[in-house]
Amino acid sequence: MRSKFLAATAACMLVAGCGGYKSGQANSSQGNISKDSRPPATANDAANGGNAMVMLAVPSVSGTQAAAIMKERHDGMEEMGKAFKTLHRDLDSDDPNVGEIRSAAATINKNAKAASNWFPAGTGPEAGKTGAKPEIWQNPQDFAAKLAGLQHYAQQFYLSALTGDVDALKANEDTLGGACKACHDKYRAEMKH
Amino acid sequence: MPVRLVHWLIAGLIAFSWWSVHHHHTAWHIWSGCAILTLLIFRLLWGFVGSSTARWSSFVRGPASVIAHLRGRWNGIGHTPLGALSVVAIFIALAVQVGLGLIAEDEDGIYTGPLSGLVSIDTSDKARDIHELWFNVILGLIVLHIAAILYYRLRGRKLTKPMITGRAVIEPGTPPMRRGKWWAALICLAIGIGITRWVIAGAPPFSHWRPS
Repeated sequence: MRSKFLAATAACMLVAGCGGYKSGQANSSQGNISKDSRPPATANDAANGGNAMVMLAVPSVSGTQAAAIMKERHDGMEEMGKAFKTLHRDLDSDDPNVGEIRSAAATINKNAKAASNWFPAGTGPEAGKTGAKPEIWQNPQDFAAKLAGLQHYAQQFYLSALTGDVDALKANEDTLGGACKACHDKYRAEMKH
Repeated sequence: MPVRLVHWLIAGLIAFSWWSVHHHHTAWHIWSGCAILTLLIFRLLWGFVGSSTARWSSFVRGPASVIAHLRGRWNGIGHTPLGALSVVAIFIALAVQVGLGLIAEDEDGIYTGPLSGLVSIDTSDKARDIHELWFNVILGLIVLHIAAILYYRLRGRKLTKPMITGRAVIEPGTPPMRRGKWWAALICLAIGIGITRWVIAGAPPFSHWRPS
């Protein structure tokens, strides 16, 4: 009985957490901090792509698990970068390919959501070659807020890609690029392939 | 005077380009590169119609003069035959650097060079990598350039002051320089700005480049 009640509460929190992306990202990450301070649900929330705060609080990973996450993170970031370059070129061209922009937007949206699971403690430079700076784990709240920002703007961009309104896309591209840059300026080290 | 102005502006812009790109001001970096492009076009043209000491034909000499110069048999104002090689090398290195920057894009695709739309994503990324490496070539030439000035200084010739004031002590019997025409300088500058503006627009049939 009691466990059913807990599960229901957790489910509500998850839904609330997801809804948060649509309204201001600062608020949603604030809200999530208090929810996630409750003991049971944390790891599951993170696994479900719930929010960024949780995964930073997850017990640290190491060894092959850390390597696997870092690989997924690297590939996901590369994929997002490539998608952004594609849509930027489209939006600069005389005749933007809306279908191409739409699929690039979907790629970014998907990876931005997955990024909630990409930064557990133990996947910094101590674990191997990475562009992720130790500052990520020294400023978990700021990092989480910025990641929530990315998720918010990625979703917004994706929604405008569905409508195909090129002017709206150009405006949203700037805010989306700004969200990438906000984190990269502060938390990414230069990395040579 | 235009030569000196261009020289110091480019020196300042190189420093600014380096600083801005390392402090996440990529948009400023791109504008700085566009300014350098304008100055390079100006200097190229001024080398044909400018003052006697600015003209490529007056100071770029063949190997024979370089050797004569090294043996101490050269007399004139402006660049020495060996110094001319340095001028040409730095000019070409900067032109290559600006060219690479124009088609490059940053790692995230947020900032793109004005002409990046003319090449593929892979080419843009490659251009960025070479653009980064090529800066070392420019640094090397700057080091050589400054080393040469220090070498002259040790031998008692101060080259920096004339490069600021435009006045130098010249040996008797040296033919004086002929000044350039101010309107010729204006025309060169207008062409430089015009071509740069065209490039900023995205070149050939005017694409829609946005700085970021």
